Amino acid sequence: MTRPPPPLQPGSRVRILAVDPLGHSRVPRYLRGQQGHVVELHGSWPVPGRVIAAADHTARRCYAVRFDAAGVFGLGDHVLIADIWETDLEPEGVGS
Amino acid sequence: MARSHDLGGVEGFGAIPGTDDDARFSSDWEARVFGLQRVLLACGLYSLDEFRDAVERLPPGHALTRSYYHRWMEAMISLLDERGVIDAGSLEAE
Repeated sequence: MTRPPPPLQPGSRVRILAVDPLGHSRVPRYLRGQQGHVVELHGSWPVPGRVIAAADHTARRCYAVRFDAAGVFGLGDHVLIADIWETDLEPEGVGS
Repeated sequence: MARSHDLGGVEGFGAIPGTDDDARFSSDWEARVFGLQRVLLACGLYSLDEFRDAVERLPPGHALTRSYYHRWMEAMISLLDERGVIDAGSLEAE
């Protein structure tokens, strides 16, 4: 397994990975490939899909990530916040 | 890969109906399913994550045609069958 990514902080811009794993995932399809930013740190927890698929209980960082509804759905002036593990996102932009 | 239960943001289902009914279950069998779930989890037959995965692995149409606790029951049966606790084939058809 490659080294875990560095921790992110509130304000960090992120992009949800487009690649969707087989099996159980905590990422809804409408967030795949979407950009958002971290708003809260949820600590580190086993990733449910990896526990089921590989009995991998490695604790990974989990973040509350905020998205603009207009960007996700094409309309709406509200935001949505989803809890995403670091395994399902990557930092976005220079210096992220 | 997105699974058939993943319907968030999908158009065409209309507004989610509210209810003034405070009853948690619409029938007794649902309450029994709920209770059985708590027991099976407490006994360690499966984890909550495995249960969610089992619900998601139901045949694709079930997310659209089976009620919430009906899918719970189907998922429980499949998990117990997979673990050799029961033989799902010998269960009487609903």
